[in-house]
Amino acid sequence: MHSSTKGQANSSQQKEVSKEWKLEPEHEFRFEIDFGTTVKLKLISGTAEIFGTEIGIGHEYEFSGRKVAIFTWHGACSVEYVANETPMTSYLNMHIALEQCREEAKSKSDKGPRVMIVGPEDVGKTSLCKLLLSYALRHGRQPIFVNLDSNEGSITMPGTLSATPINHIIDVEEGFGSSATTAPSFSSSYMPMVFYYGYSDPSDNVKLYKVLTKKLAYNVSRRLVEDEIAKVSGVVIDTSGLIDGTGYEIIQHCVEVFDVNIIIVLGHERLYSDMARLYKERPGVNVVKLSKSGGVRSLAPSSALPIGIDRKVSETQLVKVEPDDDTSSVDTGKQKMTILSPSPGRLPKQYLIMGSYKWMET
Amino acid sequence: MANSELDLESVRQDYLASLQDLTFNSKPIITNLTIIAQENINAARSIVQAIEEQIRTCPPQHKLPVLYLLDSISKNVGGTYIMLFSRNLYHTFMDTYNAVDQTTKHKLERVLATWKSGPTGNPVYSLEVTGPIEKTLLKQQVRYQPRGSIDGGRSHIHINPNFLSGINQSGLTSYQQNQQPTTQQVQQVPQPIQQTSNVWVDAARYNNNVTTAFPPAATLPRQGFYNTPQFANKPVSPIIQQNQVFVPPPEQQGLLQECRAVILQRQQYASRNPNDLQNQNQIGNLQQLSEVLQKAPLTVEQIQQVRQLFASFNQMPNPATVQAQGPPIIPPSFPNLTQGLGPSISITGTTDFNVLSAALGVVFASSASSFNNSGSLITQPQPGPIPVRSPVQQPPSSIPQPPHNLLADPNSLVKNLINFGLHNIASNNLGNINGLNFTGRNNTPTPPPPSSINAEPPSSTVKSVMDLERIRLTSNDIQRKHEGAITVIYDALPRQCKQCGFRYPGNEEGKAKMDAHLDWHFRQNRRMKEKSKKAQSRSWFVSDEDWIHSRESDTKNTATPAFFDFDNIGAIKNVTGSGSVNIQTYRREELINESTVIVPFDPEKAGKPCPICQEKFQCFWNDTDEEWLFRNAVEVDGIIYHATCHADALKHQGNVKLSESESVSSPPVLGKRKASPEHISDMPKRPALVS
Repeated sequence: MHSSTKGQANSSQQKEVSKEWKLEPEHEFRFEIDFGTTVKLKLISGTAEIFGTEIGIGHEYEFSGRKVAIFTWHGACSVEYVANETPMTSYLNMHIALEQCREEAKSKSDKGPRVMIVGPEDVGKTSLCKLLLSYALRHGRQPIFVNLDSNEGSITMPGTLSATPINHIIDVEEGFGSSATTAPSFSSSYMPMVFYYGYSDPSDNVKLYKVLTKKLAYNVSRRLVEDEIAKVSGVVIDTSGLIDGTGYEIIQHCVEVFDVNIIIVLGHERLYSDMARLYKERPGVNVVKLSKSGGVRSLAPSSALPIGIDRKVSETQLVKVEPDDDTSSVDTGKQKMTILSPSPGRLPKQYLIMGSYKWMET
Repeated sequence: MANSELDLESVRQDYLASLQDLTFNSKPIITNLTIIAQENINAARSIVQAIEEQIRTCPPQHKLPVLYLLDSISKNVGGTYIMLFSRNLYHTFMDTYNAVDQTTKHKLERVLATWKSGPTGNPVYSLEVTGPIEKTLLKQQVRYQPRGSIDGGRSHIHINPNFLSGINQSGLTSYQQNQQPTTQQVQQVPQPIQQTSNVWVDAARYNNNVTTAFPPAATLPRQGFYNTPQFANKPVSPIIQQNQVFVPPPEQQGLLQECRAVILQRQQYASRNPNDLQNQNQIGNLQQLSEVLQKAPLTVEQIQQVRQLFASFNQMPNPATVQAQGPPIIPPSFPNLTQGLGPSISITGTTDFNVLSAALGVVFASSASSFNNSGSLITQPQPGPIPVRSPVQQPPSSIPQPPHNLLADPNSLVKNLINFGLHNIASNNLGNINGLNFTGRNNTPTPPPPSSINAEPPSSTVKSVMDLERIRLTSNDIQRKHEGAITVIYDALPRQCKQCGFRYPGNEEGKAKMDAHLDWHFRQNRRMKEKSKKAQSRSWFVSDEDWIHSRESDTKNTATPAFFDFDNIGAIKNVTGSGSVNIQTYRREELINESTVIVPFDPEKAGKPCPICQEKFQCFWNDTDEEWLFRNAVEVDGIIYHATCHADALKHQGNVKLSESESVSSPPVLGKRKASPEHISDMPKRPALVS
């Protein structure tokens, strides 16, 4: 039950500093790593998990440009920078409740829970999604993860809305792992269905957003009909942090199209009461309030901000590639366009969709 | 002579090689090595050399088992070995002693104590040998209590007439065997508080394999030395133990016993799962606790607290698989004592309470720390699953005794508790969870042997979420702590992948999945190796329909996701739409006319007529493809033909050639497509080409 964790910071100068932490039970250890810096993490003893994905003892995990929170249910001996006010118990209960729904659905050959997580930005909605998905995986479920937050790529890239069957362990080193690449990575890749929305905010183009979510939901429901495991496992929906008037409209729309039966309101009292009021009359919809992954107070350094606070580090990591020629250019005179393709071979379609996302080289 | 020396050397080498396996306290290995030593008594010198060398060179944590082997050989084989070991025993012992940690030191001290008094009461090693060691120890450690020496002079007490004959007859068995309750004498003769510590020492060290009646040696063929009754059967006499400093109040003693029971079980578990470092740590912590318990008087609250902790996991059902290990003997009823003790005291299952307590009070080190050889927590060695009560009922003298000495640090107790997670249990009130967290969430990389899997109480109690109380989807219910919740996601899934930490259930299905998962790791790793040098690129996303109908099984998703595999499917499926030559035209001649080729950029090439019919191509704008195309055209080896002309020409060459040309024709087409965007700028001019 000693849960000690060994972190090894490996800066670019190859200077290695190794430090050992011991975590008390139900404590969380958070750290954030800049790009270009690598931190190796090793669980020496005990158990620990990262967003619900348990990490193996003795295995070295490498993180770069990410924020990580390590939680332990069974731990011992505390040291500094460890948050002890985690809402993990309620998260776990949430999972248990969902799992009970799944069991019930299985026996009735019904649909498993469709969970939507709403809340303002930076409360850890995506982290909670990961956690719930990861726990579901432990029970042999294969839920579908729907990402409606175009800000976060999660599985693909920012600007998209996607649905992904989660059928294998969530890679703690890469967040959700990357979607299909031709080369094998440690964890194999997911296969998402992706629609490009192109804006960071649903309110930028509500109509398009609704069309896309509806289409996404339609496809998901079609898959659920065929996919027995996914049907029982249900759907976990991550949403954008938009909770103004438009946000409410969109939330209601999404609840409708995805046939959501559990709404988890994360860290926002007013949103919760509004949601509870909105769906009071709807028998099929449960609204549950969970507190956000807080413990911010006990975190001393700014570098140890809770997960989800810092938007600079997005799930999809942009990596600069250096091809021989200029990567993208448009020659209007010749009506010629050069683009960098993510994959060798021909482009699959003739159309290109333009969005508002830009990569600013920093 | 040279030959025999060679033999001796080879024996030494062989033995040394065998010793490499002795990295943990393993009964079979020690037994085996002892037998080998006995069989090769002619080569005793070599074997002694090998053992000494091994003790000298092996890492500190491996020294103790080897020393146990030395001990085993000394006691079971004796003779020449005693003589040979004696030569270097001081160095052998002291080197080990100085290299190991405190816990192991206690164990060594206990080994030493047995050498002085021996199972029979006769010293295994003479005082000339053990004396210097003892002296050094005394110098080194004020706390060290020369237990053995006290008894050493009274060796007549421990006469066991069977010992000598027993040595030869009894095979060498194990350090770890089942618990056989109780020395009769101890049980039946209510002992005054004082007791010779040696009884305790030996019993404790050898897993308390104390048998009641000691049959004649002849009836005990091949019986394990370490659980033979020699140790147990010592006549017990009320000897005042001078070294006794603090006798914990009865309540505390009960507590202590429980603590030791747990340690014992842990250690049994450890012996089966030597890789479980966590467990080892926990044993250490427990031992510290027991130390505190012995040395320091606790307040009533503290006792209560600790007791609750123990009680919480003692209440767990014990699917005592290990019960099968030995013929359980129900301890003779001894109402007033057993009541107080509760059957949970597996250490002593047997021993008179008073005797025990005295022994505990005196020989602190002799207790918990040396139970290497025993069962696991899961496996309550008690006969029958007697509901184990914590000895709360023990009514008398609940007044905490004033501290006789030192170490009395309640804080350290609490700290200890936290250390081994009991605190956690208490706060969580997770009655279902194995209080010590060992088994269920042990992270042993190797899956525990089947027996211990079955024996894991947590997994057996809470197997699925449906065993838990129903959590309603209300904000209140969600916030509340629910018992057993953590168990469901950890302990209910005892199989853990070493590589990624993923868990699977302990049942057959889980095993199959785990195997498949490991296979997947294997394949994945191999693929990583093979392909690490290749460039990686993202694949295109799949289409709606593909997504809806695709299934990836848990572990078989190893195929390279090539959703738009242009080399294969794409060429057939998408060609028409994307404006390339439609290969299918070869198969379906009616489509030949629809075959198109993108108008080349090179005006000269674009102006060339079909080489077969010498007619010009018809050029048109395709809206879907956004390209200028030649109608009814096909490009083969860089030359554009009329599709119909080409097809006719091919027909004459027969079907075999046809298929060849099909495969030949496709690559240039794909290559052509690549070049085509460059020609877009010329497109507006080209309608002129239309004939």
